[in-house]
Amino acid sequence: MKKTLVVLNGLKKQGLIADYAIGGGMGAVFYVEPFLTYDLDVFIVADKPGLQPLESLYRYLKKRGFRPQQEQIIIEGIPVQFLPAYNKLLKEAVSEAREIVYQGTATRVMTAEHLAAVMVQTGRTKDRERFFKMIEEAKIDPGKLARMVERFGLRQKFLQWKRMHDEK
Amino acid sequence: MKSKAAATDVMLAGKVRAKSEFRRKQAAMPFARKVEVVVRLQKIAAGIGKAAGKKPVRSAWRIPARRRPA
Repeated sequence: MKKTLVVLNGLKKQGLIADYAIGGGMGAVFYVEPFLTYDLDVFIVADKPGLQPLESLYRYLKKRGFRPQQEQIIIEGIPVQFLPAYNKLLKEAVSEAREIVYQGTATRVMTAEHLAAVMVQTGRTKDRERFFKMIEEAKIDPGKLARMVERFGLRQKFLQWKRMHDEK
Repeated sequence: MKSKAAATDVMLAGKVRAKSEFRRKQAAMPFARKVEVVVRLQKIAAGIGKAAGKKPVRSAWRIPARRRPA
């Protein structure tokens, strides 16, 4: 994974992306007990606005010998799924991501509060399960999460999930 | 003397406590170690998938014809 992160940092240096943050399952694993997840979800903010922010990225990576596989691209053995930050919450999650060091390589992971809010917004069954894990195991600032939930119009779903969790 | 139900409750509460304590410890592991665990889980899952996919074919061929169900 270290080599994968070096490639991701290289994308930023090359100016292909403005910024990135690890989210999804692997992002959650940073905060909770490890669980099975298959790919590395990387949320990106493109350097230039355009309709196809992933096109130049894929072109560059393919030229470097990394092959796409379904919706992912295999970078140094790790399936990476690039997802453009397509709404305000995701853009904020990328810009306010935590800087961490993984085996000597700097990288960025979404904050626990942003991850939880993104889970509520995405709303799939697996997001709900991960949200429950986050509530139980991650160190979440409840005030920060509550403000975020209000700001992004997620209050109803958040309360519904919170109730389900408390009744468990 | 405690009833059997009360004793079971105490035992279950202890189990839940131990489990959540274990989870908290797992959650506090360094990220690099967690990634190693995820990779191991992926390998196990791939192994199970592979076995599950091949088993019916393999087992059918391994059973001698005379002992195969009609």
